[in-house]
Amino acid sequence: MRFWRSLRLILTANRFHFMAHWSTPAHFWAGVIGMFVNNFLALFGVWAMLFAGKPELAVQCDAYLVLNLLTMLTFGLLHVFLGGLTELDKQVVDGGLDSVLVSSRNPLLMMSITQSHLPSWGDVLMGGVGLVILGVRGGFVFSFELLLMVICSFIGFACVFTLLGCVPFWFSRPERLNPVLINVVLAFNTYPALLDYPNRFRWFLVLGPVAVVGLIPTEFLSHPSLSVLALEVLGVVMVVSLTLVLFSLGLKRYQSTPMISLRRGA
Amino acid sequence: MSSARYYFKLAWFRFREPFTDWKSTLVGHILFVFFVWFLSWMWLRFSAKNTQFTFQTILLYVGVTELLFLTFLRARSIQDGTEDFALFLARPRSWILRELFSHVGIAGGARLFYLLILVVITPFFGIPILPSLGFFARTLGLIILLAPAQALISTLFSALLLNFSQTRYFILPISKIFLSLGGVFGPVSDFGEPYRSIFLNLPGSDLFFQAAHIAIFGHPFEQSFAEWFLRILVICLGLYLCALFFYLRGRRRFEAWGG
Amino acid sequence: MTTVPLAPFAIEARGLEKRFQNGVVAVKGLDLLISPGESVAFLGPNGAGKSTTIKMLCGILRPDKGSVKVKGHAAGTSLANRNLGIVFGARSQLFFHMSVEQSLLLQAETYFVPPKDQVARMNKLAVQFEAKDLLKMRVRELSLGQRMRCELIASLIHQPEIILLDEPTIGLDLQAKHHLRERLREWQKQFGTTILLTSHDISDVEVLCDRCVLVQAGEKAYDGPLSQVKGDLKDVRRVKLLLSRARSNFEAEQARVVTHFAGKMKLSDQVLGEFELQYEFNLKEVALSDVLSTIASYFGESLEDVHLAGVSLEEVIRAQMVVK
Repeated sequence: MRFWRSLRLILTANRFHFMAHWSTPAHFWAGVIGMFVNNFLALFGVWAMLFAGKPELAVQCDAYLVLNLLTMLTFGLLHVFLGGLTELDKQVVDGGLDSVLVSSRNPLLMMSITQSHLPSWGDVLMGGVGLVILGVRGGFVFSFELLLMVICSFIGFACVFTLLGCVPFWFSRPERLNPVLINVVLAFNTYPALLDYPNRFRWFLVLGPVAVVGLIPTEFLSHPSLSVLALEVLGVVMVVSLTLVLFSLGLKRYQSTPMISLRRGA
Repeated sequence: MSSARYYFKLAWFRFREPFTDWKSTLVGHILFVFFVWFLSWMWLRFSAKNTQFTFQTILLYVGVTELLFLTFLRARSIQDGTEDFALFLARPRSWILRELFSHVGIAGGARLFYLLILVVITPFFGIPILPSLGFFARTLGLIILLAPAQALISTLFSALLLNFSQTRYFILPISKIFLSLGGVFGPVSDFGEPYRSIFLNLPGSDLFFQAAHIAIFGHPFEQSFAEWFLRILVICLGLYLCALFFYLRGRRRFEAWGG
Repeated sequence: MTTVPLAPFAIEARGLEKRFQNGVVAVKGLDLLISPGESVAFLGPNGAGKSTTIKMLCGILRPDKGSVKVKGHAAGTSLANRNLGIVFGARSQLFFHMSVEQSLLLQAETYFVPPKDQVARMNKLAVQFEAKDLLKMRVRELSLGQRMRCELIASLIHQPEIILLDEPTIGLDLQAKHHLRERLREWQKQFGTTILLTSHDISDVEVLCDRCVLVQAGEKAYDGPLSQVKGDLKDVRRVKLLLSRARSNFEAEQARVVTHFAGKMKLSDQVLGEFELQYEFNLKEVALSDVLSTIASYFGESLEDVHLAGVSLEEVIRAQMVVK
């Protein structure tokens, strides 16, 4: 029952967010097209630099494409549907967590529905269309594997952002550190540096939550095996557990800000 | 004279900002170190057979291009410039000049900070400092030489933002054009054809690839220094005219809502 | 002086203590017991611990010591928060980019209002708070007064048994303040809602509250009926005289009045205009008729006007709020 009520809340919030975005078509399309172009250029640039005219790197090139489309889609889905989680660090610092904590819902659930990032529809469209094409070409089994990895990657990404959002509970000025960490996560999951790299277990140990977002799912989609699947599932479970524990501990340390403060606009 | 003093003071003030809280700035600049190492490693992993660059030279190359790119078209500083536009109109100063000198200062200070980090980290990658002094000196010169171009493009975007609020969605993709096609990830000279020829003729290449090539080798790639400098001047002139046009248009049409 | 509220309590806080990481003890051993249906003003100077206490009541902060329950449930839990409606004057619960209607419906959904009742409740509240025309507007397009009305609707849409109001009238013009207070008063009479109000505007307190809790340096300084806050000061009166010539021309008359009442009447030390003069006395010691007749006899035709007033609630509370 609680699950369905939570789902209904998420759907209602996102319906209203979308209606608000859609009500200004110029902004909506500018945001979507801008992000589409941004992603295309980023993909193209690295492809032109590393893979163009190198047939011996065809396998790595395919894996690079899958990695980026997967990361794009899950990043986009997170920013569109649970966008508030990506702003958790700012809300902890600015005291915006107050209005989330006073509601009668789970704080992470409430936090996630506070925002929806318009330009990320571009990520969803590009990643989604790309993966659908790959899925159709790859067949039913591949499509199923793809769906499974999208779900794992999405959960992993949500946890990574939540973990980053917990940094301010312990460090008072995360505004310099967090953008660095986010860029590092994205770099590992969009640039092909670690693709097809030997000893995937080592990345998991070294990179932890970062690896479950894109690297291990891409490895699974390129070379499906039970061991890689198990690694991904185990990784997701561990990341989720770590996130919930850290968030819960962090809430106990939350100090809010003075109640009387400058009003913030949209 | 007093106006010139004001704007230079403003630029100096913005230039000093990263150094006033250097610990906090250093944390934010760790990304530079990460990208220098990461992109160099990635380049060598996939392009070692096709490049004339060694790990050390590619590291220096990425160091220069990242130094230039990480301070290029920063959305935050572009938007900051437009947020107090209404208030600024009540002041006896030129907004467009304020923007220009602010961006020169902001980018200059950040780039110098990155250069200092580069000086510190290069020995850890097996690059001795003394023989690299020429490289660092040329990089410093390029920071000064390319400051107007960087400031003008940021000012252009600030002026565009005054006219079209949707501009903020295009800052990232426009910067990606320079990132992807300008040789920030790796030398354009090592790209395959036809991309190499196409990208070499684009402005991005002049601002990033050629600049890094000058810093490392002391001269641009397949062109003279005068030719490169002329191209930079043409870019600056074009940017200046566009920025002025959109600023005047925005000024005429500006409406301040609310109390 | 303390009042003894009756169990079961709407809000039950006992021995609350909160120490922040910088070592500041914001709240020390605070007890706060509020019965259902009460309207309580929670006052104190800046830094007294009011906001910290409110935040512990609604689960934003966890107390280091003590316990706090809302309608019998531990504060901060879903069950406790379902009974709470909160209005933050300086923070919004609405979504700036959505329309008011969307924000309110989302709020209703958040607080488990049955879907079939959401629209009806929203419309009813919109009529009650004269916000029907605002429903289709974007939240960011609202003026401050309009936004506060919508914030109030958002906090009441799930018909909470308790409303926490933190500076609800901050920044509002006089008419908007009056309107907000009236609507809250009507709501409270209709539903018997418990109100806990913090405000620096004493008029809010006078209109809405019957009981006052004063906090100072994290501890309770007073807890009792609002009518008794003034204490002994309730019988103090000030009589202000408007003279035809500057005060300095009447020094002899001023002294004679004081001497006549043998020190039971004194000159006020408040800053006044050049043509004004003010005396202060206690009704228990001096009869009003004596005061007025004496003044009239000594000042005669130089007296142009007389104004009589008691000590204001604001002054009393300000005097109590001397920061240690």
